[in-house]
Formats: sequence, C-alpha cells, structure tokens
Amino acid sequence: MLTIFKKIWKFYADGIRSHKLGPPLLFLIFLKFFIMFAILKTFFFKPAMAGMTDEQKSETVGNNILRNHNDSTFNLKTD
Amino acid sequence: MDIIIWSRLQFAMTAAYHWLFVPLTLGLAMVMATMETLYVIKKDEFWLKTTKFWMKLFAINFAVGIATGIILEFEFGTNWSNYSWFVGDMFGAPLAIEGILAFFMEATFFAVMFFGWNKVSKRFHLISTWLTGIGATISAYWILVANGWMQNPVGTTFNPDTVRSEMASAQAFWEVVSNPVAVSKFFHSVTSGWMTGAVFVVGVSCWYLLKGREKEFARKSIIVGGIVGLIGSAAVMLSGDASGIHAAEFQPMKLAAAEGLEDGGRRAPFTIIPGIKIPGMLSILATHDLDGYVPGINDIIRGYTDNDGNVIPSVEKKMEMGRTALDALATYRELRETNPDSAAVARAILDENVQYMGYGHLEKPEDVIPPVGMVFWAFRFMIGIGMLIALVLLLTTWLSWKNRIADKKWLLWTALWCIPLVYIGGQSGWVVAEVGRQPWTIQGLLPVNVAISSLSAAAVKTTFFLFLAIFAAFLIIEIRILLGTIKNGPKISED
Repeated sequence: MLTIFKKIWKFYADGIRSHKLGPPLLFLIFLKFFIMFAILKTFFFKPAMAGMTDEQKSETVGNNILRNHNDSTFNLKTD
Repeated sequence: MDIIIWSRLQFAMTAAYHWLFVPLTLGLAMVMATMETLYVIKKDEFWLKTTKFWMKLFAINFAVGIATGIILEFEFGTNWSNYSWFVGDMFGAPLAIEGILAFFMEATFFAVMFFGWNKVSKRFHLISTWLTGIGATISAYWILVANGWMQNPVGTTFNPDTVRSEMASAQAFWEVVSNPVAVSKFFHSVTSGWMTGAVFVVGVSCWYLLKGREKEFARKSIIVGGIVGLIGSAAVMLSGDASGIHAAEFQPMKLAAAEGLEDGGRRAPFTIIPGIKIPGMLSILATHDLDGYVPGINDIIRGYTDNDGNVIPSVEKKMEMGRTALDALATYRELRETNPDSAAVARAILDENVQYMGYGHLEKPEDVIPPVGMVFWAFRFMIGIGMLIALVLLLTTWLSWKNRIADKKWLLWTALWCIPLVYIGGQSGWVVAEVGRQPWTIQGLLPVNVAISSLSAAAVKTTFFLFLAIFAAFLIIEIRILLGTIKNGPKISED
C-alpha cells in the first residue's frame, strides 16, 4: 500500500519538477489555498449559524423568514 | 448602499471572476483533446508539440482558477445563511457529486495529462486528456443543476418543520437533475465555453501571424480551434433557443425585461436595438409560433392567460397567496406542539399557497420587475458578440483552410480583439440569467432581502474590497504568465 502512495507522490513530484512552470504554479495554488482557508475562511467568513444544531437552524431561519412578514388584513382560521 | 446590495455585488464579482476561468478550461480542453487525437491518429510530432503548447496555457488557467468556486460557498454560509439553510437539502447531493467528481476526475486525469507524457501509453494519455475535459464538463452540470433549480424550483417540497426545500424521493431527485432549465443552461454554458476556448486559440494564433511567427502552427491551430468554436456556436444558438422557450414558460418577467417589453401580445416583435424591431420574431423565439402570446411587464403585473389557456394570477393576487402561506407557516409553527389538528389545517393552507410564498414578502407588485435597462443591454451584448464571433470563426477557419489568412491583417486584428469580447459576451449572458431573475434567489419562493444574513454592510464591504484586491492580483499574475508563455511560443521550427 505504502509503495502505491510513494509511486503516486513520485509521479506528481517528478511531474512538477520536470516542468519549468510547475513549481511557480504550485506555489500559486498553495498561496491561494492559504489566503482562502487560513485567512478568509478563518477571519472573515465564519458561517452565520455556526455552532447551532439543525433544530436551532430551522428555528432561526423560520423566524427570519417570518420576521419581515407583517400582515394586518389576513387572519388565518384553523378551527 | 445596504447589506443586500453589497452582498449581491460581492457574490456577482466572485461568480464573474470564477467564470473567467471555467469557460477557458472547458473550451481549451476540447481543442487540445482534438489536437492530441490528431497526434495519435496521424502519428505526427507537429500535433504533439502543438498539443503540449496549448496544454501549458490550459495548466496556467487551471492553476490560477482552481477552487475560485469555493469562495462562493463561503459567501453562502456567511452572507446568505437563510438561503443556504433553505436550499441545503436540495443542493447537498448535486454539490457533493460535483465536489467528488471535480476532485477525483480532474486531479487524477489532469495529472496524467500534464505529467504522464512519457510514463503512460499514448492511448491512455489521450483518454486522460479527454477525461479531464469531460470531468470538468460533468462537474459544470451539477453546478448548473443547482442554479437551474433556483430559476425553476422543481422536484422539491417545502418542509415547514425544517424550513427547507427537500427532495422527498428518488423521483424528486430525477426531476431536479432533469429540470429543463438546468439542461438548457448546461448546454448553453458549456458550449459557450467551447466558443471561449476556440476564440482564445484563434486569437493567440492570429497574433503569431501578425508577428510573422509560428505560421504553420498558427494556421493549423486556427483550423482546429475554429471548428470546435463553430460547433460551439451552433450549439449555443440551439441551446439559447431552448433557454428562450424556458424563460417564456418559467420566468416570463426575465424575458419581458430582456426585451424591454412593457405590453405584450401575439406576434410580439423582437427589438434588435431601440427603434429597430422585427415583427413577430419574439413570439417565434419565445413560443415557436408566430401567433404565440408573449406577456409584457404590465401583463405579468396585471395577470394574463398563457398559450395553454392557464390563467396566471396578477402579482397582487400572488402577494395575497404568499401572505396566506406565511401566515399559515407562522400558525403551523405556533400550534404544531400544542394543537396538532389546527396545525394540520394550517399546514394544508400552506401547501396550497406555498408556490407563491416568496411573494408574501414583497411590498408592492412592481417589486417583481428586475433592472430592465441592464438586462436589456446585456442580452444584446451577448447575442451581438456571439454572432460576431461566429462570423469571425467562420472566416478565420475558412481562410486558414485555404492558406490565405496571413495577409488579412484586419481579420487577424479582429480575431485578436475577439478574446476580450468573448469574455464580455459570456459575462453578459450571466447578467441576463441572474439579474434578470431579480428579486428572487429562488424563483417565487425566496426573495433576496429574506435570503440574506443579519450582518453589517461594513463587514461585507470590507470583504468585497479584500476580494477585489486578491482577485485583481491573481488575475494580473495569470495574464502575465500567460503572455510570457505565449511570447515564448511553441518553438516549432516548421516555418
């Protein structure tokens, strides 16, 4: 199993090394992932409902959907 | 500007940035796979070198564009949390399939394609090249299934307990994946990507001819790129026709806005530009019938009878039904624990009116009108640029085939300038699709003002400018690397 992973790793590493553009493009990809996940996701894009259970999320979104709803003319009859 | 505008601007900017890379990936993949097929069939080293050159440009675009779509998912969770939760059940399956396919197919076959030239057989390499393009195309399908559902929410039911649109069965999943809006959108978007890839190849090749370099490489690249682009152009027209029919059926306001059509009717004219109209053409495009009825903005507001004899209620009536649905939802939530019988009645009323639930949030009927000027002109840019490009591809391909292109400087310059134009055309298409469906995030169910999270406009503004700076920096880097590689050229000594 380990040999397969080693072969795959070598395939990628040799491939990247053998192309002049390989290392700079790989650097760009890592730089982008770092900016996206380590900076943007961590500091700027925390999910608005992080830490809530599914029930709490349903409750919150239900309240938000109904929050702006203000109907003075309609009275729902359920009896 | 308020939080909604900033959040929409941020999402639009991210999606537009993402769409700079995707169409070139889709199109260039087709062009270079065709070239590699020629290499395997003809066993001619020229095609190997040609394929490798375009593959290098493909790799640069791929590397810089990689994962730009993930930023959209960040924005869903942070800026659009109500929407995100509302669609979570429905989007989960397509986006998971997309993620897995994108990761495994593209990561695996892209690596074999780019690194495996001397390590795998010619045929396996060729299959990998095709599968890289096919993987990206399939991946696009799942994204467009999600987008198509927002334009035409089929196959799901609203669950008032979870406050989500849910797929209740395998049949529902099939309805979602075979949504006609998603299918036509997929073909339209992917084949417009083929046009983008083709225009890029033809434009860059024309630049070589203008410089008097790489003449045979450029001529043959134009022929292959041009043929892919012409097939793409034909498919774009056919799928665009289907999109028009679907817009008329599912989003008539979008079509009315794209046409600036205030009052509709039978034998509705198509406006080329204000003041120049083709009588009856809009009816043909929207219904495939000269006598087909096309509603205008005012008709949609007032209510009308469609071509199948269905009475479409006025917006005022839909707002009333929407408010009924929201009242029923509130009542159901209030009574579901304490009074199940009354809750069941409220649930039945909700189910009856739920298709107009989003209308209950509108303040006035005119709120359903999108920004007409923007949609109208974006539609004309899209069509005009598309037609110009099809013509340029036809001329460049024909003249390259006849080996008479090198001295047609005007055409070489035009083809080169088509590179920025094809991007403007593609982005205009998305403006029509997305601005044209305002005020909805999900047609009829959820307007943008309800889909949004409770954030401060300042927070979104900060990340908007942060993105602007990051996107600009990466784009400048990509363009510099691309231009450097193009300047170096394929170095095929056949001239």
